[in-house]
Amino acid sequence: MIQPDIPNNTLLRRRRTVWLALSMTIVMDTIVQLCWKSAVGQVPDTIGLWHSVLSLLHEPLFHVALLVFFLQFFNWMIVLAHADLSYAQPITALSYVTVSGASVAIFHERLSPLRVVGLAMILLGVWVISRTNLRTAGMVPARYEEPFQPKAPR
Amino acid sequence: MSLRLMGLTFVTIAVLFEAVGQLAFKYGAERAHADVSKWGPFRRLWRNRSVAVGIVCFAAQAVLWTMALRLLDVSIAFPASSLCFVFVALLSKFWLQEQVGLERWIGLGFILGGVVLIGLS
Repeated sequence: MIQPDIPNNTLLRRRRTVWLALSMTIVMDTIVQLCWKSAVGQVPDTIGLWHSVLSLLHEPLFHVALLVFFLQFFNWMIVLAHADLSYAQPITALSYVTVSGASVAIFHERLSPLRVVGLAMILLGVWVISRTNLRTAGMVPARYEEPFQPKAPR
Repeated sequence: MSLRLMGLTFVTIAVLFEAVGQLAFKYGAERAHADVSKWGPFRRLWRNRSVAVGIVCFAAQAVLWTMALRLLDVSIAFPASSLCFVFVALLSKFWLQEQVGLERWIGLGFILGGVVLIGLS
């Protein structure tokens, strides 16, 4: 697709929007995972599957996870409106790193050396992808591409 | 069919559903974004068939994923789920005509390698 001539400051603004929303995505992903994990941890294993699902519904942390998951949808729509899917989706792999970090900090889990290498590779991959152009195709021209027109005074 | 093969089939189908769901979300987001009024994009999300398709795909993926986890060990299922990145990249390249160049593939390779190592550890 031929890129239209987009002014530099709109590109900068888009980059800022995308990265702000992507950071939110990763933070929210981490919150969902951690809340989910500790909510499941509260439920005793001894009861049957159906009862454990029911008791999960009473966990406050599970409610937090659901709420953040719902908000995540809107946030993700903002990301997708501005960035390529093949740019944004791999970057969400960063949440593997943040979840591992948070598990060490909160649950005092140990990281094996192999795991640290794996996390470093994910960081490297995300860095390589983040260097590419964040929007190379669009079905409809995004809002920022339209020339700015000041409103006529009434 | 062995249990493991069945589990891997479930994971593959789940991953395909997830990739198609992401694609549907992308369509929906682009459509909604075309609305230039202030709250228009958010209002548009509710009357968007692509978004509905995406949500159904994600629900199907969640069910399949739960079924797969009962058949497979997490150390196999978790790296297999990272196939999603590859499917999404292929779909974005050939369906959405995004420029998935060498740099993105190299980045994806690193991420996949990292996920496999985490699965092994």
